[in-house]
Amino acid sequence: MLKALSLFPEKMCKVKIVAEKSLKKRIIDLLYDLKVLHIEEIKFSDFMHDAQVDIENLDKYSEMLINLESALNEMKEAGYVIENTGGRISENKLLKYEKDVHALEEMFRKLKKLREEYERLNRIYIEAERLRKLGVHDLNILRDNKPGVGFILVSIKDLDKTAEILRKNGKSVISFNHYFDEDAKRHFMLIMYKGKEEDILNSIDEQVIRKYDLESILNLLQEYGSNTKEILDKVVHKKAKLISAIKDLEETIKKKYVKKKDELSALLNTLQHVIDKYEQIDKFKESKSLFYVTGYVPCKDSDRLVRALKRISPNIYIEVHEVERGEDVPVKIEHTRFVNPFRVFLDIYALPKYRYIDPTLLMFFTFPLFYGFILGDIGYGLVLGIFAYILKKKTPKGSVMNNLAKVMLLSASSSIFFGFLFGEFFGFEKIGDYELHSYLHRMHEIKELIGISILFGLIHINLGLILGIYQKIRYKEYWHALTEKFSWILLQIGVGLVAYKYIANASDFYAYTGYVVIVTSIVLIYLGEGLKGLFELPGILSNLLSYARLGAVGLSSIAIAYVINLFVEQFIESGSIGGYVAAIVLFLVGHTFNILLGIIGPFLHALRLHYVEFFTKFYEGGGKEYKPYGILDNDHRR
Amino acid sequence: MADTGLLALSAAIAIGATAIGAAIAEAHIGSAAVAAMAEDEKFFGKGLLMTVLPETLAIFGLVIALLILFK
Repeated sequence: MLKALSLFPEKMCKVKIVAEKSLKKRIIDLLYDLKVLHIEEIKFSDFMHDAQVDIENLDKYSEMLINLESALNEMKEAGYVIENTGGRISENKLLKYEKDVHALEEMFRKLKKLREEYERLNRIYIEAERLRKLGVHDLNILRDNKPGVGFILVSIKDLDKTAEILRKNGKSVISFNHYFDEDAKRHFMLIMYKGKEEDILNSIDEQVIRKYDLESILNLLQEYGSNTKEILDKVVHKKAKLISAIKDLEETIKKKYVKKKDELSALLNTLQHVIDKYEQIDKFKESKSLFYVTGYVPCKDSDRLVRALKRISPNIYIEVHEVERGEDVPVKIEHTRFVNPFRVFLDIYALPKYRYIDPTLLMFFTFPLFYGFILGDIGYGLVLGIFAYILKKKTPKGSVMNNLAKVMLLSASSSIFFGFLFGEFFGFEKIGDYELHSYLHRMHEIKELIGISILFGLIHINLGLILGIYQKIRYKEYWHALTEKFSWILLQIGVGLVAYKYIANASDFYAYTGYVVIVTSIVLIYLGEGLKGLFELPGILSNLLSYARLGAVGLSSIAIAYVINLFVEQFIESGSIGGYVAAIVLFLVGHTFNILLGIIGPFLHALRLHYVEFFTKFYEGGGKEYKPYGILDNDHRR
Repeated sequence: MADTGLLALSAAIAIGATAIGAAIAEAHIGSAAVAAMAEDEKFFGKGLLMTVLPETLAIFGLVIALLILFK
């Protein structure tokens, strides 16, 4: 339990394993199944090279995986989603499924071909129909190249204008036909001409939307003969046949494979793991007679790892020792199931370095607190809670959205709590006839509201600085702790003392002490951070004032709710049916809008206060994630 | 009465003008930050930090507005 409440990433140990080469396959299988070793790739040395494992059928497995993935993708597009149920098939039995996978992939390939053919027929139909409407019954007219006579097929903007230009061109234009296409919403025109094609096109250049390549259209239609009417009949007939073939095939796929979806999911899962296992084989090294691997394990799992390896052979050499400073150790962040979802904020930002503070646990308290303080409404909190609960149920466990939903669920509870404190229900001060008691009236006690917000800031920022000091002291960097972190606390104390003198009209002693403290802190800041620190002096003030948003954003939300309710009440007081309808519509639309703002706004602002104001005081990002051998990338965080 | 109007107007200018200033600055930084993030997602933290820096302007504006109103 104590570990789960830790402020630091889990303690890691470095492991080196050396064994006889003959044990290679068994060790690799064991490490993959244990899922604890984060393998470190080591540089090549003269006598070590990448390990080779001769796995029979590995090529076949890869091919099966590619075929299965492409088939499952096709199935997904057809609406049959195969979810990863986590099932597994024994590695020895994989080959049994080779034929099934091949047949499935073959079916989808056939289906794809049929659909492509259907598309091609559609195009032929459109082109033939177009030429028929343009008065062409025999395609040979277009095909016969009489010397000096040609055809142009174009779509045009203005029929009358084009016709006028073509008529003027009497010497070159022999004839032109046209029709209006309802689907394409434009005129099509077939022009028969003498002389040069460019001359005709140049004259109607401004009217042409697109020129069509007649030759390629004729090539497309060639296989169906020359008579447009006959072509259309043939195509319609063939299309009908194709549709029934496609439907039959879809039905077969559905019957044969949708029933087997759990089996397919297990097959996919197993294939992915097998391929993943051997894909990373080059992280292991070997020499003529030895096999070697090094990496990191959580110290608490190291005994288990050693025992399991010794069971393979007592002769395996295993070295487990603590990590040294300066090593690039992977970071494992593990908390209780309530705190874990908040890790998503570190994933978005950057993971902490190993041995540096992991603020997930603190965010578990402060994020919902800030969120609730901003939203602070029983009604909005309830709506947000329902929304978050649905999202949590609908999203896969461990996904980013699922974690966010859990975070929102806690934030909703906090909003309801503050809703009771502020006495607000959808902006009203009562629920039905029950008058809510308000401990802090946000609309009327604005000064107090902003004051409390800044007090939150004062605590939050100084908590960050204290964490920074703690971190520095842990590494025995006492001077840095004093000049880079404590100096800022000192500066605040100094300003506080001076302010106290003027606000409370206290004795000059406070002011003088304050000035001395301020000057001392500034000197310390200069010594610690140089000129940059001096430039950032006003930053601490803006950091503090930034927390005013806790009150201000909530205030804007309640002001909107208040205005909506004001109008709603006026409409209801009007007593007419129209008034009631308007009141209901306004209430629903207005509050939906406000809830949407209320969900997004507090989230971003609470997050920003953490990232910008809080993290900058202590956080060291840039750690690399702990990825144990045996866990696939996509289910890494489950 | 005229004084109340002038006070309200001053507060509005204080928050309005600073908010516009912050918005213009954030628009430029934000688009650059998004471009950087498209190249490498690791820039999210730094990008966000840079983007929200000018927000301080609006906060100072808000504080001045509140000071004017509650004077």
